[in-house]
Amino acid sequence: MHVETQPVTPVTEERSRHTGRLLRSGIVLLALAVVAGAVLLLWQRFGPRPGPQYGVAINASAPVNDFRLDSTLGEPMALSDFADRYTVLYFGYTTCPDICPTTLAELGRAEQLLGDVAERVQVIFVTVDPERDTPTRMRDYLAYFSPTFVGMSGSLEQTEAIASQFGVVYEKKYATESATDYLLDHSAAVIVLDPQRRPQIMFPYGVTAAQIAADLQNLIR
Amino acid sequence: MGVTAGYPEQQRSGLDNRKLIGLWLGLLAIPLLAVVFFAVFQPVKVVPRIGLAPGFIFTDMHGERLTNEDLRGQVVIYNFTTTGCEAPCVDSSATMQEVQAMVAQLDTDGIPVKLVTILLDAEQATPARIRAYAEEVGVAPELWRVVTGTPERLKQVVGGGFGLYYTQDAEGAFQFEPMMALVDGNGLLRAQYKRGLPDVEFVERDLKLIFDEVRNSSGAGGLVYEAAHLFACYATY
Repeated sequence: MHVETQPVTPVTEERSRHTGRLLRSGIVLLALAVVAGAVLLLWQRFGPRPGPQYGVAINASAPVNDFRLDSTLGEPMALSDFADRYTVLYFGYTTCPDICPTTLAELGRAEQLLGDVAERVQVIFVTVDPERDTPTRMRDYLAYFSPTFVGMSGSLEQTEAIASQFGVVYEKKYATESATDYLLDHSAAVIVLDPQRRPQIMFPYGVTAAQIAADLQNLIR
Repeated sequence: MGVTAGYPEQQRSGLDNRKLIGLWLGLLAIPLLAVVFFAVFQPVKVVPRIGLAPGFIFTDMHGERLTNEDLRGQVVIYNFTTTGCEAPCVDSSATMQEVQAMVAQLDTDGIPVKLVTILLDAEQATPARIRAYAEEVGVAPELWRVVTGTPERLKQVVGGGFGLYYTQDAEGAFQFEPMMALVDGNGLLRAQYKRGLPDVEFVERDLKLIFDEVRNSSGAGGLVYEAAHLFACYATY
């Protein structure tokens, strides 16, 4: 069989050298782009970023103690059961006249503003009034604000210990002599934990839904 | 002949590639060098944010309640002791006296600073005994509060929250290592002075760092401070 070979001319030799140069440059550029991409990704994941604009930066290095309490999901839940998302903790009670419904309404709106990111966020409401707030009562109450909110309740001792580790305190204020006619003075902060249960942001009372959503967008990597 | 004729161009192409690689690596090295620079030289020093300080409701020497919420917006230096702390118990009251004198002279830039002594011997620490203790250690009431609570709440707040573990022996004497703590105005635990009693200079240095951060961490400065916090794993004392 006769194979016809093209003669090697200076033009084809030059073209081949040019192609070789282009290929080498392409490989180098690709490798550098991959390295640059990796560095950028690492920087985004672990690099510094501005602190929250509206909340207070905590960025704690240590996780809080895990806890398991009765929940509105029909079974006891632990904080660690939500390890695939950021948790937004709020301590309040269902008969709270003003601060709790306002804060929960803002959290519900913040959840809507977050869109798809909200799937990575879980709002947890821990009652500071476990004597009156049953899981059923909390479920009905929280449904006004968002169907995704989870309520938790424990014993008086458990609740006090859990609240204390978040800097939350509360106290009964009796309106009359009746043992059940009372309000609770309580800390109103909202605390955001990362999936490793490390406190990241604290929102003081009065922060709006848009502000909460903006800081959460910035926090969630 | 063809090989030797193409050599200078290949060499030029190789040089171009090397220059390109050098340029890219140089650009990539900038953030890495910045990280190393921040980690090693700590151009902006910060007091680490350890975590949330515990919540508490205690009672002071006048029978008035004091909560952590009452102290928001103020930088607070805590110590933990008993009304009858005698050797081998290491009393931190003398150090607190020095801190009180230092704070009284310090330019706090308008940020209020308070001292709080938490007494661990709840059963002995009656209001009268707390007042006697406060008088003995020279408490300035506008600056320094002495408080206590129920044994259960103390255990939870001091042991669980501040990380000072203590026990009581059969004679009722308390066993604990001396410790002091610094909490900022946002209720964040910033320093635990656990290795014996700190020199007042350490407390003063940490207070000044917190004041600097409050003053300079708005706007672009905030990013620099957040970067500094990423590397704030060094012990402050």
